[in-house]
Amino acid sequence: MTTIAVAESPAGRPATVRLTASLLQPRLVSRSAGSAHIALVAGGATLLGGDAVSIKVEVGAGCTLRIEDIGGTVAYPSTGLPSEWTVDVVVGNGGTLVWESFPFVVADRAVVNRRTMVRRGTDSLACLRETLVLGRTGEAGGRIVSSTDIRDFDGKPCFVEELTLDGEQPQPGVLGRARVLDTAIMVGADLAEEDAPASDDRTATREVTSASVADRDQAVADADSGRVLVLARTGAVVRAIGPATHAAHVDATWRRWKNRAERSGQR
Amino acid sequence: MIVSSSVAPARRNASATLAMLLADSRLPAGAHVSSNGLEAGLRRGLAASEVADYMRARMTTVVRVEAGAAVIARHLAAAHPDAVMDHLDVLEAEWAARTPSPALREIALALGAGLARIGQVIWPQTAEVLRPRPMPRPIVLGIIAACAGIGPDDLVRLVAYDDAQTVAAAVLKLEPTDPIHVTSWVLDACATLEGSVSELSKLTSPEALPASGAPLIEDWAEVQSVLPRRLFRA
Repeated sequence: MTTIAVAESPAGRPATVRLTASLLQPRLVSRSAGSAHIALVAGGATLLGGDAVSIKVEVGAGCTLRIEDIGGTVAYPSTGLPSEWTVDVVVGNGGTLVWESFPFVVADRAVVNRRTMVRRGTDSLACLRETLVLGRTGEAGGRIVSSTDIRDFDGKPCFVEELTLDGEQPQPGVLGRARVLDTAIMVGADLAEEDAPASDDRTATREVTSASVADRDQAVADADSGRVLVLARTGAVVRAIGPATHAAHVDATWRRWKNRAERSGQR
Repeated sequence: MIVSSSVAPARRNASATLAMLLADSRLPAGAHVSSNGLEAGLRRGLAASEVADYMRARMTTVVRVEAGAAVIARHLAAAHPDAVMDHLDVLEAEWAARTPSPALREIALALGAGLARIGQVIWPQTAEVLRPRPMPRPIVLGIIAACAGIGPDDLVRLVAYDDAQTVAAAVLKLEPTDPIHVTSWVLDACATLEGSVSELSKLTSPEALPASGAPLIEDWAEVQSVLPRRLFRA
């Protein structure tokens, strides 16, 4: 298991950081009082069939942790066994986590179970990015079940989702013909006023009336700016769905949310 | 105007009869305002030839969440008569966390209100639970099922059938085609869910509510809510 834990040190000394390497290796980039920046490097060829990657992240009360993936992940064709990718996060009271990740590519015949669990304290912020790509260039892509479960310590849910995607069996209404689903999640901040109106404005310009193939592709490509979904409780999800990572991404919203989270972490 | 249950004549209807009533589009619940995202979907690239697949895709995603919420609400209303509101609050929070689209949460509340109006009059014993505040449609449906006597299997099938028929009625207005064909799509879609009826009908805990998401359905719901010159509200 890969572990990244950051906790406050007494007397304003740099944060205490505990790192354990496994299939993924965490490297300390920098730290200061109450805050750490960690890079996450793949230790070898991941993710092969049967691999089980497990990452545990602990952000101590009042601390700020920034994790940055170095390079994306490819889930390679499975030889029969599915691969597991499990992320278990705890963000203490008043803590902030920003996790900047690269695309997670599900190659043809790969079978992946990906689980992200977040347990959060009061006044905590979690800002996560997940970019799922079905197939390498020219591939339709394999199968992934990606679940996310974000809750308060007392069990109150913020965002719970289980996506089942299969490049061989595209489903209208799920991803349709799109191969990329880029998602950023921000939990712990009230984003209703900041983000909802912008997403409505864009909707008006994105209407497609003809169902020709070209228009359909355009409709998918237009989604690159991302649509913000304001959650019922304390946060939002922004998504872009499209044919390729350069055409469907939520970069602009991600940068805004990330800056906001890092600012609030310095308070 | 609410008749107390001691005065109302004892009425027993079979679960199947009640399910037929609640799935009937002639029921004045206001459900005709929804196309289940079809109108926006067709404008955003869904082909008319894909509508049957769209109905099936809904069965493996949003219908699991809705049917699950109805079944769990039914269980909670029957098992915790004293603290039912607290338990339903927990369920509603789980449902809302699995429904990231505000437009989908809003239409579920609007359709829930339409159904709750009918429920309170026809089954007065539901009024105590349904009156205090608006609840999403699947939870209202579950409460009615508990009071009126709809079994969990029938309840799952009711949600599934209603979901597919909503798309079917909308496609005949948006992309007119042979209504007999469309009817067979409804049965195909319902058959897709049949294998999950037993699993879904056994759900009791709010935390166990399925969370099967559908990013495009959520996206289309947002598009639909601000669609110019639209035929349907959702």
